[in-house]
Amino acid sequence: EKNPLQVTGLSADKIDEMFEIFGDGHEYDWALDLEKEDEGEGIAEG
Amino acid sequence: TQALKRQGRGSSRRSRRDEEDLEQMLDDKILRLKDEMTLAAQRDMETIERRINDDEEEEEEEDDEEDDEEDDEEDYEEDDEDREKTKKDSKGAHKNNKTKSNKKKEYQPAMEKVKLLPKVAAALNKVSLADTILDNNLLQAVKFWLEPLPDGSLPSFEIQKTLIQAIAQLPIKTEHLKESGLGKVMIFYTKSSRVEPSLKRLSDKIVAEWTRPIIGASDNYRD
Repeated sequence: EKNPLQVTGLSADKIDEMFEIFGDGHEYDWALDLEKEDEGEGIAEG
Repeated sequence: TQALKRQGRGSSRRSRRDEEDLEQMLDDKILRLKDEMTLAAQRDMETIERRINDDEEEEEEEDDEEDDEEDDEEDYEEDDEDREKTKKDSKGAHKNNKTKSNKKKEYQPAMEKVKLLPKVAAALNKVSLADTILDNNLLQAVKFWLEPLPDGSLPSFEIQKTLIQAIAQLPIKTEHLKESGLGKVMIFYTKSSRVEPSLKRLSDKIVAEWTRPIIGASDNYRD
């Protein structure tokens, strides 16, 4: 995993706050995985 | 003037009490709606879960049937029947009758949210209710409504559209997002390939707007 601090240039406080609001961005990956399964075509678009 | 002032104060005290009563009434109204919404979301989820379980049993019986039907809440009857038919046809028509009659019996569409939607929309779109909505964390119920269902499907397009458009209009602050968890679901809407493009764009915009006060809360902004 990349260090978010380096990627975004945000302070630790702000990163914490982002995390509190948006989570790690992967909360619903299980649903995205099911989507891919259903479509049966894997990762089509970005 | 003294008397006038006193009178003025008196009436303003009265109207303040009226205001408080009104506030209390609106709070109650929104809290009730929140309960109803949460319950509806839960019921729909249970319906889908039952459906998944039924499918699994069926799959065991018919063993090679792998993919499930889409679960659109709305238009379930017509839409799904057609889709079902096409899928089943391509897989082997002989299964058709048996499977379908089974499903007809077992599957009740998940409709609780859809049924409640008009009431939810009416509340969300009332500008005068915005503060009450945010103060009472109705956004948490909105989050429950937008979440993908246990089978990975999304709520109906009407629900997505109504809620996301309403979210875009509400003066949502960072604290409301922390409280409700709505941000997490909105990230999902920017990612899912099942979200209609215009709603996806709107979701991107909403997420960007929510991010800005955090990112931008530097030197010149807060101090």
